[in-house]
Amino acid sequence: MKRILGYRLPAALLLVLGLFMAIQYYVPHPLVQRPKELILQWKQPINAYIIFLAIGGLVAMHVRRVLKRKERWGYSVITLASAAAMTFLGLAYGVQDDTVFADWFAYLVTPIEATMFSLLAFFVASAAFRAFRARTVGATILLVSASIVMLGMIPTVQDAIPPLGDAAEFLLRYPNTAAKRAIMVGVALGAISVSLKAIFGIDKTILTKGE
Amino acid sequence: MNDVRTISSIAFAALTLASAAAAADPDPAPAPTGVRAEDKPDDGGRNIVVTWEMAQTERLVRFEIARIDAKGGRVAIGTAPAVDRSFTDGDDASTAPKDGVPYRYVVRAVLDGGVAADSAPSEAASAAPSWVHRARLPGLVAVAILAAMFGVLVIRARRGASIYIRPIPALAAMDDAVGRAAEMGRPVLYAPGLESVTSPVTLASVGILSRVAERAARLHTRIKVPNYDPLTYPVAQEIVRRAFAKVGRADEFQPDDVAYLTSRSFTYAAAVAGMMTRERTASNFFIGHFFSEYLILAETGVATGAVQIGGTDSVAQLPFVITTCDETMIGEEVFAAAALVGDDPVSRSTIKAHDWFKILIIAFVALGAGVKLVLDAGVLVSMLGGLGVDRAGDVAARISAALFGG
Repeated sequence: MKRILGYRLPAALLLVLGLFMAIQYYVPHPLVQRPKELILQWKQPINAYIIFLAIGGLVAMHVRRVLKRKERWGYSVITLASAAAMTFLGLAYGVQDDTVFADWFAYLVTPIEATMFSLLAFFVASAAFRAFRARTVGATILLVSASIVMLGMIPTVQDAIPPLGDAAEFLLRYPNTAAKRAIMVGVALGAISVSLKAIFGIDKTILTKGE
Repeated sequence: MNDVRTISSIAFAALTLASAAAAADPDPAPAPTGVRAEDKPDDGGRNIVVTWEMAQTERLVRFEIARIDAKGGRVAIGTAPAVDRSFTDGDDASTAPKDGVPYRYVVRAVLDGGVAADSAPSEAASAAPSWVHRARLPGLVAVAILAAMFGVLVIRARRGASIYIRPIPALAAMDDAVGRAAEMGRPVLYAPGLESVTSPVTLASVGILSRVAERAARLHTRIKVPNYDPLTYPVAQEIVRRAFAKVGRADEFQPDDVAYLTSRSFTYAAAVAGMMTRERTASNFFIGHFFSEYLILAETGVATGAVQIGGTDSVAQLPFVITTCDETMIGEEVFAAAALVGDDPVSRSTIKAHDWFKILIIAFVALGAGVKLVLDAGVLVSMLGGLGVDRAGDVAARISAALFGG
């Protein structure tokens, strides 16, 4: 029974539903689309359960950290208090635009995230500095082509040195697009392979026999 | 005096004629012509596409579309902007046409000042659901060919045929990276990306995680897996738990090391960057789909001196992965690595099918480019002319349009 419920039944469901969801993409008829809509509706309660499970795990982890007085347990107290406050505000007063919940979100969470986002400017600079050090042939090509594209995309430079603008346009339109398309084709094929492996039970990452 | 009278009479007559001409509206409202109604292809039914023709004028305000049923009942079903020449009856589900019922359509052009003119009714058309999405058929054929290659290679692998796959340097570097963490007595960090485990790249990433976790368990090394997606979290936790159990070190598995953090990308970046800085993780793995927060994670790893291995299917983030990681898996290599970690011939065969299909694509691209070059260079016109074909240029243009869409 354990083997049936733990492996055979999930594998059979995966096979049937996986094939159905693949086929429905090519069949727009309502006889196929209506069951698909139903299956997608079933995802909602599963998603709700998963979110409950994830947040439960997060809260349990921080409670354990506080109870065991682990290193920096004070941050866990702040996390738990913040989570409790936002949950209370959301449940008690709603989450619409003119509520305390929305205000806390707009004036606390959003600026904190914006601060993190703004760090990207510095990280892009430091990463670019490292990438553009011409230590190898590849890095030198990168340096030269990136310089051409960066300068060639500036309108004043395009007016002053038209060939630079044309060269930047050429690099973006041909080598860059060709490479991006090649990567995307490879990714699409890889995604199909992974999906087929999962559907036909070849991938043992999630479903394993008898473990 | 007579002259003045004559001029006044002429002016009066002119004004009278102008008023009469204005009253008779010398520029009557033009009506749309060529109204056609057709079932919308590749849909689930209850859609009819109406098209018409009409010259664009500044006076045109909008079009009003009406549907006439078999009994002659006329119902206004919607409007279209002056620049449009088509309308889909069915966009509004409450008034959508019924499948199998014939309808005719009339298009009214509304001009400045409320002047309007109706077209002649279209021929009758009825909506019907399609069984096959014809526009998606090439994709289906491609998947079928790939699946067939996949099947042939899996059968060959099961019969014991050896299947060679090119080595992936990043895969070999993974073991060394975990070994480094073990030597330094510090944890390993594995970020499986920001997409759900239902996404193929995350599925591939958790496959690679099983190998990294197993290696970490063998070397008594902690592995921290911060999760962004709630659905990926229990899967990642189970994979790491199973990896520790597999090597007989279930007691060393710490559930809190595989945690769900948040589903806000920059909050996640802040949490993981903090984790790297506090715990001084010796090796970081960033394998999965990332967005703009990637650089915050990886640059923090560079700052802490960690060995980093990255892999993503995100074309926009790949330059940053290459810049910040010691070893990189570009796009499809993530999927290939996931197949190779199990060292299972059947999984390897899927990558081989992948390679065969790429050869097929390259052959098609080369063939298409060659044919296009031949057509553009006028070689086909010369050949057809040489064969005595009348209007060789037109025939060649039609062949080109059929092959390359115009």
